[in-house]
Amino acid sequence: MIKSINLSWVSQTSLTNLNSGEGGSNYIDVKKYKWQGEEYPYVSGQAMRFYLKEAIRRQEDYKLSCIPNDKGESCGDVENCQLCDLFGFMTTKKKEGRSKGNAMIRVSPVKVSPAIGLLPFDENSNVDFLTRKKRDTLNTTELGGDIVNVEMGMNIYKCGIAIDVVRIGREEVIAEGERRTLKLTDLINEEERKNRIINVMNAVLNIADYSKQARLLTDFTPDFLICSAQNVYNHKLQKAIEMNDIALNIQRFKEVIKEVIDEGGTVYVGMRAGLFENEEEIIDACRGLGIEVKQPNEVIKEISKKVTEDVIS
Amino acid sequence: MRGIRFRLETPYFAAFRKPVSTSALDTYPVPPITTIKGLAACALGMKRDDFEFLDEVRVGLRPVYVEKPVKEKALLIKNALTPKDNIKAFWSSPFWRDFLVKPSYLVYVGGSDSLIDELLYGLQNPARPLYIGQSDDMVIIEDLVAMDIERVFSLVAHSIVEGIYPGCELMKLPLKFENDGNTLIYTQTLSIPYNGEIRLDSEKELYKFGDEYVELF
Repeated sequence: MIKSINLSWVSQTSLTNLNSGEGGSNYIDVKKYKWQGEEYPYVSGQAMRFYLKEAIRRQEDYKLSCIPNDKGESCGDVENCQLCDLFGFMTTKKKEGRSKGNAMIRVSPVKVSPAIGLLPFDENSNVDFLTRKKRDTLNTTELGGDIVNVEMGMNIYKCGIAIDVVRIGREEVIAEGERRTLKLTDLINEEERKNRIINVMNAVLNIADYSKQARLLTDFTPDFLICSAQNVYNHKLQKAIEMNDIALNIQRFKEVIKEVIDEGGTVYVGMRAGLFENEEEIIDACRGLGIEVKQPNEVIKEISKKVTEDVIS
Repeated sequence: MRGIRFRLETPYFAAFRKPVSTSALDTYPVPPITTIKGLAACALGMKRDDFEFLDEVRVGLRPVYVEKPVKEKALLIKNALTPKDNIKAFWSSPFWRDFLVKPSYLVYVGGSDSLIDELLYGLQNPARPLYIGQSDDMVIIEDLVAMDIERVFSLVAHSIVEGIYPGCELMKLPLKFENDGNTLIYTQTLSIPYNGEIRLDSEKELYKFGDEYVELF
């Protein structure tokens, strides 16, 4: 029985600016975090959620998901809107008369991490100089335009999502006067619930809406992907991927994967050639754990098949 | 009395927003007492805002690895409350948010024997996926141990303690809610040790978790 699905992946990008930071005047920087004295780029969790949502929206009929209104509020119709179901919402209720205003909250069953760069930024970056011509000067013979500097970098990003399979397409009900009776009401049928779960995983293979793609055309899909179908909630899989230079930390990888398997989880590993220096070691380690290394898209197909065929909680 | 000790790690980022923050969302360096108790309540499958639970367990905390917060600019969508508001002008407002990168802590929980046994099972098999701080900040709970704890006098503390001690960061943390959640009560001034222990100037009554002396709030 599957209760939760974890995906953790790394993606190698070419020169790009996936999520801009604050910048200043004509300087567009990359968002960066500092870790042990070094700066690394990252793509915020909010941006990653947006990319995933757009990928899900593109995969199916656009009418299956709402478009937030002019206040930024989504419809909150879990039954008919897959994005409100998958990513939750907070809709405010105005106070009427003497009653207090409050909010209708659905906690997102899909948790999306930021994409964190694993290589120091300053060793892998550049500033691109360009000019922007304004529309009203396009027909003049005058040279020039506004000067813009865009910070760009190559990196290897790590990212993860965790899917609460139990709560997709369902609403949690706690009876009046009770403190923790967990009753889950089905709002859609099991087939549609499974379909929405598979949509999230497929979206990982189709992420495309990040910034600066008019010219930079970056591929941000997984080069190395691990997935787990678990019958217990934990996010241990998210720390299986750590790098030593351009090699995967094999010892840590084996320890984490073994722990997830020992807890009853099923783990899948997908890898494209040319990312890690120790590919053979990874394949051997997986073989030792009873896992066949496949391509990332095959892994998504395989775990989707498991979701389709197995009983989900 | 029974107690639990576990290591709480966040594999990506975490932020523990100070309640009074507006356009600059500062973060506490450690999760507030209310946040830890909320995590425990979530693991047990309790309803949102179960304020009774805040009095049923007591919590201690020790930072294991915490770096200085990183600042990022983000946009917050604000609703236009009246028709005369200019929606385009106030569509979103920029604010600064602090976050911590991969922090980890040791958490100590004390309570009645039955509740601690229940919590031990609940943290191993949570009723809901656990997160801390912001709603997407995943957590990993490891090295979970239950043990008998006792109150003893000690000259050394291995956790955050009430009072002012050298070499520590001083802070008041949210402790509990009163008045049906409308009033937030803070702790007294606390000393947060980053090197694992505090030498106290006089004996203090603490809880003994194995070899560690911890103050519970």
